[in-house]
Amino acid sequence: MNASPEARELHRLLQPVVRRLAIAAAVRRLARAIAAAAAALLVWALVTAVIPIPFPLSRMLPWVALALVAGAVAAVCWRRPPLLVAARVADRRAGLADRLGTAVDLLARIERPVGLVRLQIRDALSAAAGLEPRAVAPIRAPGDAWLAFALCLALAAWSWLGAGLAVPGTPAGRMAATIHREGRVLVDVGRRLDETGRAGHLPEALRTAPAVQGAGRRLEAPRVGWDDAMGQVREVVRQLQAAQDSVRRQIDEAMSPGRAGRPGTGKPDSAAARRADQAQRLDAARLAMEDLAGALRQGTGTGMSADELARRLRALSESLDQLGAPPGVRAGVDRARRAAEGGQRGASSAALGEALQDLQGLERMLGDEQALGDARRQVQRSADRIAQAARGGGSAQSAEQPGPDTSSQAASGSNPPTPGADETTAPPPGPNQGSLPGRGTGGTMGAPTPRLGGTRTQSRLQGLPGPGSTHVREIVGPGRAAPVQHAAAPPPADIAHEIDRALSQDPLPPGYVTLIRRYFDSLGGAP
Amino acid sequence: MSPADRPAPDLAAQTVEEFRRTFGLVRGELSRVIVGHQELLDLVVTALFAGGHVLLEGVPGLGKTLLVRTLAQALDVRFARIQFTPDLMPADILGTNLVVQDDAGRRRFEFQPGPIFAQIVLADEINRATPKTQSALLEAMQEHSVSIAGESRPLDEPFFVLATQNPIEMEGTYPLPEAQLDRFLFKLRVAFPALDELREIAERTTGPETPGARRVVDGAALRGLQAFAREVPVASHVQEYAARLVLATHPGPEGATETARRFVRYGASPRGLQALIRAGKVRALAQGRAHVATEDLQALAVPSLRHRILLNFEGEAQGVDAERVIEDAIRHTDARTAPTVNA
Repeated sequence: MNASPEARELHRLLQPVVRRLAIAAAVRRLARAIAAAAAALLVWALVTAVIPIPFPLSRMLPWVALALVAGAVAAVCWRRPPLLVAARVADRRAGLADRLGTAVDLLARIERPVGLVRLQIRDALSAAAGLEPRAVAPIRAPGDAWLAFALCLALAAWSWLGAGLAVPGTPAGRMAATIHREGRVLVDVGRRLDETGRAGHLPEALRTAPAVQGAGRRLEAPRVGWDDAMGQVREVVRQLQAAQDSVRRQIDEAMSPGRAGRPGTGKPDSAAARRADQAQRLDAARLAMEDLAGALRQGTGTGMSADELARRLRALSESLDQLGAPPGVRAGVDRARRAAEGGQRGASSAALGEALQDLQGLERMLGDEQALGDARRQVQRSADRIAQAARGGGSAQSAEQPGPDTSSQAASGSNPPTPGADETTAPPPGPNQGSLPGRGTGGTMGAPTPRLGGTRTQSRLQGLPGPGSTHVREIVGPGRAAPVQHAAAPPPADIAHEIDRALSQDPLPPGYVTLIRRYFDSLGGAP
Repeated sequence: MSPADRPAPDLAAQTVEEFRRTFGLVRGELSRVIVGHQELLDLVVTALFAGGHVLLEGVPGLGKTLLVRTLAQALDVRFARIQFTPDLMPADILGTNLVVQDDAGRRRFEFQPGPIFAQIVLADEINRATPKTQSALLEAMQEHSVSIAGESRPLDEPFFVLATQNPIEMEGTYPLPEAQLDRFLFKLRVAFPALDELREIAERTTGPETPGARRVVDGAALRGLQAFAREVPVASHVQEYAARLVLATHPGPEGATETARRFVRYGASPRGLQALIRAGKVRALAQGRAHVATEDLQALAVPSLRHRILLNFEGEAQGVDAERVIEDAIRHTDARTAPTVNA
C-alpha cells in the first residue's frame, strides 16, 4: 500500500482483524496438529500390542504439547494473513460488498487516489471504522477440535485401560511372557540377596533386597510394557550400583582414608579383580592374625617364645603395610607387637583381637559389596534378556536357559546328537525329543520349567586353621602296575634350607608364609 | 477522462447521488406503466446506463413492446420501432440514397436515414427477418455507426437497441447467429405475470385512462452518466473473479465446471466479460457504491452470459439450460476464489 494517510488509517483499522484471523488460523492448525499427534500416538500404542517397541507416553507428552504450543505461538507471530486477505474476509463476513478489499487493492495500485477512487476509499474507511473484529474474525473452537478431543480421549483411555496389552502369539506377546519370567527371576534374586544379607549381616544387601523384589513383583504383574519393564529393571540396577558404590567408598575409606571418595577410577573388571585379590590377601592376613591370636590365647603352651611372637607380629605388621590393610588393623597389630615385645601377652592378645574385629568388619563390607555386585549382575542379565527379546534376538526359552546347561543336557541324553548331522534337522525321536529350545517337533514347548533358586556364593571356610594330617594317595589307572610318584616325605635338609631362604627373601604376606610352612609341616617336618 | 479531469470526492459523491437518483427515476417511470417484472425493469435500465443493448425474449402479450415504448417516453430521445418481417431489407433499417430533384430541376442522390438513426430502437420480433437483414444491425450495435454506399454515418448517442423475439413460434423464423447475439449486453426473459400482477394489469389498462411515463432525463444527461459509470473502479480480485467466472463456462480450461465440460460447446466470449464488468459498474452506482463487488457480478452473470453460451448436442438433447451452466460456474468460482487464511 502507498504511504497516504488513508492507507495508514485503513491498515490501522484492519490490524485487529488481521491479528484475530492469525489467532483463529493458529487455533485451527493447533487443533489439526493435536489430532494428528494424537492419531499418531494412538497408532503407536496399538502397534505396541503387536510389536514390542517402547511407548514412553508420559515422557513424550510434555514435549509434544510444548512443540504444539510453540508452533501455534510462532504461527500467530510470523504467519499473519496479508491485509488484502483480511479485508476480503471482513467484506464477506460483515457483508461489506468488497468495500475493504477494493480499497486495499486500489491503495496498492494507485499512488494518488482522486475522484471515484478516493470516494471509494473514504467509503471503505467509514465501513472499517464500524467494523467489529470479534464478529468478523471470531476465535472459536474449529471443527477439527472435536476430532482432536476424541482422539485425545481415545489415547487417554488406551493409556489407562489398554497400556501393556499384548496380543498372544505376537512378538509383543512373547515379550510380555519374557517380562513376566524375568520378574520372577528378580524376585528370586531379591530373596537371595535378602537371605545373604541376613546370614552375613550385610546392611546394604538387606536395604536393597526389597527394591529388587518389588521390581520383580511389578514385572510379574499383567500388562507391563517393554519400556516400563526396562525402566524398572534399570532403576533396580541403578540402586544396586549406588549401594555397591557406597559400600566401595566405605571400604576405600577404611583401607586408605586419604584416598577415599575416588571409586570407580579403573575399569569395572579390573576393579573387581583387584577387589577379589584384596579380599584374598585380607583373608590370608586374617588367617595369620587368627593363628597368632590363637597362639597368644594359649599362652606359653604353644612353645612360641616372646621373641618369636614379636618377630611374627612384626612380620605381620610389615605385610599388612604392604597389603594396604586398614590403619586401625595395622595400629592394633602394632600395639600387639609392642605389647609382645614388652612381654605383655594379655595386652598383646587384646590388641590383636581388636585388630581382628576391625578386619572382620572390613571383610563384611567386602561381602556386602560382593553380594550387591552379584545381584546387580543378575539383574543386568535380566535386563539384557528383556532387551534381547525386544530385538527379537532369541526366544524367551532360550533366554532363560543358560548355554552350558543346554549343551550338557543334550550331551547327557540317551539320544546324543548324530555326528555330522545338520543342526537344522530335528533330533531323532526319543526321550529327549523336543528338549532343545526351538528344535522340538511338537507344536509348542509348553510352560518353561521354573529355575532353581540357587546362586553362586563365595564359600568361605570359617574357623582357625590348625595342624592336621595329610593323606596323599595316587589312583593307579588301568594298565599301570604301580604308582609313578614317590610317597610324600619330608624334604631333604638342603631343600628345606632353600625353601627357608626363599620364604625369607620373597615379600610374601605372613599368612602365605604360614600356609606354606603348615603345608610342609604336614608333610612330615618343618623346612 | 484524464485523472486531472476526474471529479473531486465531493463532486464524485454528488455525481454518484445524481446517477442513483436518475436511475431510480427512470426505473420508477417504467414501474408506473409496467406491472411486475421488477428485476426485468432493473436490468433494462442497467443496460441503458451501461450503453448496452438488450434482447427481450418472451411470448406475445407480456408487454415487451410496451416496455420499450415506455422507456422511450421516459427519455427525451428519438424512438423508432422496426417490425421485423421476412421481407424486411437492410435498407429498410439503415436507409437509402434516393434520387431527388431540386427546384432547378437537377437530380441528385440524397440519403434518407432509416429507423436505425433513432436513439432508442425497438427491433420487434427480430428473429423473423432474414439473417441478411439481421446482420444490418451488427455494425450499428457494435460501432454505433452505419456504412451506406461506402460512407460511414455515425449514430446519435445515446444509441440503445431493444430487440424482442418469441421463443415459441419458431416457424418461419431465423435464429440469431452467435455474432449477432454477442452484441447484446443482456438477454432477458420476460416471464408470465402472476395472479396479482394480472389483476393489476387488468385494472390499469382497461380503465378510462392508461398510465404514461414522464420524461425524466434527456440524452445529454444520459450520455454523461454513461461516461461516469465507466469511471467506477474495479479491484484486481473482482476482475479476476469475473474472468474466472467466464472461464468456468468453457469446457476446456482447468477451472471449468463439470456441467460446462459435459454440456457446453463454446463458453462465453470476452465480450461477455466486458458486459459483466460494465453492467456491474452501473449496478454498483445504482446502489450508491463507488466500486464493483463480486455480488454485482453474480447478480448480472445470468443475463450477461446466457446468450453467449453454446450448448453441445448432449446439452441440447438433455434440455440443459445455459442458466444452469452459469449458476454452476458461480458456485464453482465462488468456492475457488473465496479468501482463506489457512494457507
